[in-house]
Amino acid sequence: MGILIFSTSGKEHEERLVDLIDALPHRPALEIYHTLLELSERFRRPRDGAIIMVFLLGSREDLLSLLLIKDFFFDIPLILILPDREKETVSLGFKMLPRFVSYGDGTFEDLQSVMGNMLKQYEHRFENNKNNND
Amino acid sequence: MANILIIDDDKLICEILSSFIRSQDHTPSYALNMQEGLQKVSSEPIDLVFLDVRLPDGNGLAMVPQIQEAPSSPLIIIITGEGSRSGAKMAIESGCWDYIEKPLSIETIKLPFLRALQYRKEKTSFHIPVALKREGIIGDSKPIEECLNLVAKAGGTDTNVLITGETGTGKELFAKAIHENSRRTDKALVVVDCAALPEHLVESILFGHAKGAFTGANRDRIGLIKEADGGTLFLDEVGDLPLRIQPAFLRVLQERLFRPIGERREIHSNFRLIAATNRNIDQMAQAGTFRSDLLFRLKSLVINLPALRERSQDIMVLTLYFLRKFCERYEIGIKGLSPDFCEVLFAYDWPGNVRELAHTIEMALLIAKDEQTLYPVHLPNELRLKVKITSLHDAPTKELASGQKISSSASLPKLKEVIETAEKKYFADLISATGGDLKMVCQISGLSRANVYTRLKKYHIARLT
Repeated sequence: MGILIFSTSGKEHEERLVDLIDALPHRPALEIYHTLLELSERFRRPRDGAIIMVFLLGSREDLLSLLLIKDFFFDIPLILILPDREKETVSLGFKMLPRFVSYGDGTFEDLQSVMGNMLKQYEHRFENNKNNND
Repeated sequence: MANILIIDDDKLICEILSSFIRSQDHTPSYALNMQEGLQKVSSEPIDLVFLDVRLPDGNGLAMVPQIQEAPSSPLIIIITGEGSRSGAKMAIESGCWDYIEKPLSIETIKLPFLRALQYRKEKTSFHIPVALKREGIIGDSKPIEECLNLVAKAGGTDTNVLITGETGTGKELFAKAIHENSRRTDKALVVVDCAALPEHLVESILFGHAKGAFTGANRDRIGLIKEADGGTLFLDEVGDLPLRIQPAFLRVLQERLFRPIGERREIHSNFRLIAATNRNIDQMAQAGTFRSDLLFRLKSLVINLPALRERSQDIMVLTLYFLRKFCERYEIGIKGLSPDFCEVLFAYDWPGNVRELAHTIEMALLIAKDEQTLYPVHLPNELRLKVKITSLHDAPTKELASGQKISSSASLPKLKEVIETAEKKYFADLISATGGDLKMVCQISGLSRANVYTRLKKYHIARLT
């Protein structure tokens, strides 16, 4: 059970984010994707324990591309880290209906508590659907 | 002019009530027992039923669901010579308009009677607009249609809305539908997950802060309330909004003014509020863990989303929707549904509601791999076990207000009728979901073309062109 990261914001930001996640109690499983193709292909496989998604975006264009495939994110809570605080970027960001919005130029301090709370809150959603047929 | 039905074994009461109803320029009719009453309510357009509890062939309270399911969905006022708290509770909780003790008088019945008819007139004169946006909200059962009526109503105003319902019933979908059907659709829908926000940051996230307002505030932050200016603010899990924040938030609701942390001046935000919760927020208000004045403000319009087991008629169309969705996503051919697979879906009570159904269909498809048809063996073991255990129990008996026990089989229809009703619904939903594609209909149902045609003809179901 864990976190699915889509990161186009550069190594430094990604490492900062991963360090935060590593510091969470019961360090969750992590999947990291860097291109839209990888992400689309991931969503053509079973969700398999991805509880929340974090999109760490490097540009508004990445955001626009994600909006085109947002149906794939059906019912997975999203944390969105936007590349800038421009009005248009923020407006596009809210169209993804994220559960929490942060910004690439911030400290990410608030993210750790938010992720911890969301993991606790949402992991029960998939418990009823575990399959023991394997 | 409304049609009013009185179901009471006392003919004198029926005639007195009839006389009163005529004096109000409405049309009365009466039945002296349950069976006759059910027959009338199923075959005639009835707006309101006065229903006695003690009837010669059973307890009137047991009839309430069947009356509500009648084609004209009449409102119900219970009249009883043996009023009790539990009877009143049962009546109100099952959706009855009122519960009145005998002896009846003009004073005791007039106001509930007039109010019920006024409500009914307003409700039936309001239709869902044809173009209501309801993306992802699947189903055409009465409970969902009623919720969509409220979405349409909410969309036409800026009133605060509280959406309640168990987890997985679609609260966010409905919030989105209200926003998209409102004049604010071109502006932001800002989601606030109250349960996810760390308590020490809630104020800053909601109201914003100025640079330097506290340690770590190294730049200005626009709060979510301001981000929702012109649009909609959706507070999900509003029951988790910290108590200490609630007075400030109440003020924002009242005045649409607030002060970001560390700022001197107040700022304005014209937002529309939708809140949602799966908790019993009335109980929280009584216990003092949620402010009752804030709750009062939130409840300008309340939409109670039904649990999936309360709208089981929608299970098939939901299943077909998810089947198609996931088959497209995983690029696999559409699979058929065996009758016993469908039976299990109908028999399960779905504590996780629509979300659980969606995940169950998704997993079943993936487990089935290249198999053409879904069988119960593709479902989670726990689900199949729960259904099996439930089916092994005796038919439950219900204890009614009077302390009588009646078997729930007291008023069961004939098996043939049940099968035909279910079959008709199944094929109607299948045609709707497949757009009349006969090849797909045959594939999913597992029937030959000839058999499908026979059933479509039998139930007068037209193929869509």
